[in-house]
Amino acid sequence: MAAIANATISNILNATLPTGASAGQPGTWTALNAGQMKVRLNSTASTASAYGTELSGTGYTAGGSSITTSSTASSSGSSVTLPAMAAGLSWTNGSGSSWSIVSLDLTDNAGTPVRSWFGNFNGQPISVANGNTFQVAQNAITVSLT
Amino acid sequence: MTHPGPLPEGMTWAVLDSEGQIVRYSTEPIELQMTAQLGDALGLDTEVDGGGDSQRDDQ
Repeated sequence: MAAIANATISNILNATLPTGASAGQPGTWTALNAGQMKVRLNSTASTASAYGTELSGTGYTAGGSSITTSSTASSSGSSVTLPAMAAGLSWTNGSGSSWSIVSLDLTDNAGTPVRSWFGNFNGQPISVANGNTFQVAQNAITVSLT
Repeated sequence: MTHPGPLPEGMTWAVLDSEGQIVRYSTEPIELQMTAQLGDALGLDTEVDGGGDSQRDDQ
């Protein structure tokens, strides 16, 4: 499913096309926050312009979970897979009611995060009963730009 | 809170119960893909039809 957030679309376009302040020169790339990127989970679908509705309750940290291992960098246009951690990412629902998981967002670590990519989980909505755990496998998410 | 180990090979996501047993899973990849569209803007056609001619496809 296609999914670059509008802020990132504009960042890519402006930095790679003659939109700069000086005539004919490329625009400036706006770097993401240098901290660990995050995976955010939502109970509704995200769109290019807006996040989905974020999960809440015990077991889920608002803003998402940090990615603590770097992925293999893209080269020659290859895709990037994440999360690189061997155990992937997991969330144990202690909210007292079921979670319904539909989509994810990738963001930077800024106080007001910048969203880069988003997408739906296949098989969504995914119901996670109270006490159960939702786990995303290592490198299960493939991101590509063609 | 449990901290499960790696999922079995081939699974992309899973739901585990409180004892760590997998109750639902998927093996389909989670793909976030975007395709650039410069070719369309220029009216270029990157598909070749059966006759070997490259024609604009306006669909």
